[in-house]
Amino acid sequence: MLSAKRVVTGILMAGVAVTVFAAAARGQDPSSKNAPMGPTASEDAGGPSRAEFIRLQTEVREQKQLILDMLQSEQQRYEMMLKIIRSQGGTADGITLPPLPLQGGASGAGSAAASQGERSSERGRGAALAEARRTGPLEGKIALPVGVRATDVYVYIDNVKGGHVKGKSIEIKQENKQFSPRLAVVQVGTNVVFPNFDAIYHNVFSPSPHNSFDLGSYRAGDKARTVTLTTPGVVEIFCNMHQKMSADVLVVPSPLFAKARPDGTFRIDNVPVGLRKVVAWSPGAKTAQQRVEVTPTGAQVMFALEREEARAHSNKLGQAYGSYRD
Amino acid sequence: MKCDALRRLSIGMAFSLAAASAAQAAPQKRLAQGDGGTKPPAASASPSAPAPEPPSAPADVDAVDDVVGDESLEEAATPLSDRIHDLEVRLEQTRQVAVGRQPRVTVGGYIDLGFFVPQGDGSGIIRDQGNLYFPEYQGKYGWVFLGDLLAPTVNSRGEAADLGDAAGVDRFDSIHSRGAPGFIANEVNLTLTSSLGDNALATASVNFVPRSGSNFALGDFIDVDLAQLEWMPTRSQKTSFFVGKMDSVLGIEYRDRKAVQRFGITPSLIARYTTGTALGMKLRSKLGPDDVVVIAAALTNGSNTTEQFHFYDEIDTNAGKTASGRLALRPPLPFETEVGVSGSYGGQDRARTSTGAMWFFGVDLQAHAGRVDVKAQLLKGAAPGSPIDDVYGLKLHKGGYLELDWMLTPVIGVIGRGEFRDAFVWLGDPNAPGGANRAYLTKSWRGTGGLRFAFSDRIVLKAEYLHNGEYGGIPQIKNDVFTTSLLLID
Repeated sequence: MLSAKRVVTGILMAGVAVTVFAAAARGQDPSSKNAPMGPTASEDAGGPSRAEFIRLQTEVREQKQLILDMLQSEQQRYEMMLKIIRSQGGTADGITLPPLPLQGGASGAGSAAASQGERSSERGRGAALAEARRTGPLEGKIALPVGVRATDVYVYIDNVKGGHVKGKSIEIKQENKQFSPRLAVVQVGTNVVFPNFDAIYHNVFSPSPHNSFDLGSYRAGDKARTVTLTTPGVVEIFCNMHQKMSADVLVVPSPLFAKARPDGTFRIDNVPVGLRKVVAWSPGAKTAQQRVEVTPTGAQVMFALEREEARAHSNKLGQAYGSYRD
Repeated sequence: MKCDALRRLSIGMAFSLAAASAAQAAPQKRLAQGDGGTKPPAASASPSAPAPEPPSAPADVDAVDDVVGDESLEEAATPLSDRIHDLEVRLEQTRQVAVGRQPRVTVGGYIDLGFFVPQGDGSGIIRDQGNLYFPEYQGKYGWVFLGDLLAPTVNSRGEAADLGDAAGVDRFDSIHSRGAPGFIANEVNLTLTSSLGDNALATASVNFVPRSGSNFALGDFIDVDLAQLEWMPTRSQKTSFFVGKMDSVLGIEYRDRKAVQRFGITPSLIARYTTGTALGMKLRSKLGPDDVVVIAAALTNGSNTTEQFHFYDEIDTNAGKTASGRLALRPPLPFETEVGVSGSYGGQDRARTSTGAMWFFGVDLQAHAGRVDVKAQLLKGAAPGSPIDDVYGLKLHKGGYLELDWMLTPVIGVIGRGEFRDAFVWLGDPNAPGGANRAYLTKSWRGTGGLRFAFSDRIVLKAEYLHNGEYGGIPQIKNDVFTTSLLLID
């Protein structure tokens, strides 16, 4: 009798091999968006231009994200397979290949189970049971410093990847020399559209290391410009002309996030069981994080946020704005 | 049996796909080095190639199973992680190159071109010959002029179409159109900005002003209107300390003094007192939530009169420095509003002693709602003059303006401004035998209407019509002006 571990290992290897193969094949396609940078024109020309630099940065980001997604996905598949096998008495009979984690939502319920053999209702029930057993709720409370509102605090699970959302957009307006809304939370892959409703020019940019962009100058009537946020983290958004204009977008890796209630409590459902990195974030406070073991019965976590002293930001050239640039 | 089939299937898949990926990603790397020495068929390692038959011999299966364990997984993933690492290293190198290429000094500026049509002889004053209009000045002042020298302004510099032919003075009449319409290059500005660390900014603004020469001398001049260091010592950078030649703290119009900053073209009638740049030091701080309070204080060589005006004193000739300050409130209203009071006090400009005090005091308001800006300012001031130093005296009884700027569309805007100036300026001692040398009596009002076409953030065309009027017994002077300005920015 072949051990369950070997079966799982075999399937896992197949999955990894497919994804690795796919990545390698894509990397050899010169027309691919993710084509690797060979000896580039910029090098030939003696140094990269800003556009080349940004393109290279994007490529690295995408490659890195791809690998991280792959590894995360395979790790979760591996863990899940082990649990299913163990829950069925350690035999590999009737194993149904579980769905890819978190596809289609936080609960993963929307994802179809891909079977290696024919489906049966029994197997479906088994998969559903396994699915229910592999997630749990996360609840907690946040102690807030003075000046930080609970409703501006978001909590998310950092080490569960939900993949890039496709075709989802949000809008951050530039109106009356302000961004509106000034705070947003989106999942990786979300497009953020920045229409300008002011008659004056604005120049939206972000210096945030993994999501930096510069949309250039435009005003009301001009086509709104868009940026796709591909890396989890906080994206600080400013106007190069008006220092007071600022907004924050929290890019989360999965739909597993929650806004704190006015009393500081929060709850995130359908968190995959296991050791999870939970992050509490709010503009005006230092980001806090904890590792929590989530079980099917749930987990609790408490945060105490500390106020972060406001600091001035620079313009897109890295220069201070000066006293007169409101 | 079922278990065995699954086992074979999974191992077979793992074998073929891992082999295919290894061959694709790293041809030199051998994945299969088990007991059986099984090698993946390299020829089949293509995305479209069918998967090879799984090995059937148990010995082979065991061997393959070992090979595709965790260690070989890591091995298979190595080329990808290497690639990411390489890309990250290159990214960092590229970033360093990009950062290294960032200029230490950023260069900005603009060209301001215009065409103007003045009325009359282009000057804003007439002589009250024989003290016909103001006989009370007879015997006290040798010459009495009525009107406002700087009323027929043609550009944002505040230059008049003509300064007239006032007797007894030798002025640099920079435009001197004699009432003729003409094209003009108002100024070519070069602004240099350099970040000296995270919290310090050095700025220099230089205007190149092409003008007519006279008597074999070039008329073109260079005007350095800003040369300052701004240091922001706090983390929030809401407090700034300035040294050098810098903007005024009086009122609000200094913020719009440059052609690229102004909604319209011409400065107000009181701009001559408040928008000049002076040498010294300044502190400006924004306090409270949403910067509800703004305070500014400065100590400078002289007042903030503009350089072409006859009070301006760049390098002081007396020890009495000018202290000035402004306190402003920005109440939390649905629209942006700022109300302020400001003033200055110091030694009389151009006098060699500090005995006479020159002062200004004013209130200001500005509001911004949607596409409309409203600006208003009132100002009073005085200077005793110094006959021995040939320095003018001033009584600015009152001056002020109300301006409305409205962008009808993102491209087209309109400006309307109403203003007045009630002042008396003299040179000499009216109580001395023979009286003072001269006097300028101004009771002027002005209505300005204009259009602004912002074709892009780099091309702006403006046009204004200024109707200058007089009141208080001063006869109407023909000194209206139509003027335009084409700004080519950066």
